[in-house]
Amino acid sequence: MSPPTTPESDSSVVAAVDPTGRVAALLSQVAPGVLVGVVAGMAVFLYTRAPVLPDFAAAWWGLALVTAFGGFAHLLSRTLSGSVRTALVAFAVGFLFNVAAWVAPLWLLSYPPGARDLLLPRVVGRAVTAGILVYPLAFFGGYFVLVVLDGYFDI
Amino acid sequence: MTLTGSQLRPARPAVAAAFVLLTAVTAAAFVPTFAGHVASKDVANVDTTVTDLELATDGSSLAVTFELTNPTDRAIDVTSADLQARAGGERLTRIPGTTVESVTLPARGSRTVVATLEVQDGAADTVRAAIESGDLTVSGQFQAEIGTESVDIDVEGEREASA
Repeated sequence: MSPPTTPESDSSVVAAVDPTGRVAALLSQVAPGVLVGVVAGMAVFLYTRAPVLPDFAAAWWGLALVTAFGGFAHLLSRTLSGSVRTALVAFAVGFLFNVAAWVAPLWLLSYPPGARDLLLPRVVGRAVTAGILVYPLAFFGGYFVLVVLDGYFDI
Repeated sequence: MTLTGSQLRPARPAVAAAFVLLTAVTAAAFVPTFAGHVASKDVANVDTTVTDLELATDGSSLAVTFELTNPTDRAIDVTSADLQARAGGERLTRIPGTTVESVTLPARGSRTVVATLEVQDGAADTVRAAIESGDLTVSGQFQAEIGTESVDIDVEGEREASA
């Protein structure tokens, strides 16, 4: 494994803020994972909050989309190490996105003082337990299917 | 470094196109779902104003006209209701005995809903007097749905709002 290459930049501002290019290199490494993670997180939310889906969406959409985005974590990566990194970052970001969407009403709506502190652990707990089994299975299921197919058939 | 075959590059626009398409589908479903999630926590703030109270001529039923205002970004389907009319702490209507037509409160919109309550035997005169004096209060709840999730809209001692 060779170390990741540093992206070239002509911007003197970027060079001044980030002289060694490590920040830019790190960002370029995690960016695909963050992107896939955000949409995977939306898809998990569709599964964990299926009762309030709009009429046009079906209950199975959430899981199917999570599985698909697990596959895209591999498809959107150039190398196998990049693929693993993208999948792990995307999985974590998706998990956090779902929890954040669950607790968001505590801040979007007005609650009496103290109620937020009381409700927060409970809502976080429900958000985590709602997806804890199915989300890893669907996401890594989709991911490993693509890795295996790609490794064997070189698609 | 092991190069896998699948690389996102102009030579594989189908992968990028499929990702963009699924992202669009996900976002299109996520926006109303998130609105529904917020609405399910905000349903306590549905405004339930009583605009009219009318006792049937035979005294057997009381028609309560509500102006329901939905403050959320998702439509709320009102399906049924359990309401009681009281005056001076005394319950004047039967439990159960509320009928209400199904109505959908649009996002950030209002609808007029008429709930019909069965008046208890012999309470018609008390109800009539309480309507006259403005002492009649209506409390209970509407049962409603956001998507397929059941939510309750509480009605807490509403009096007829002065016109």
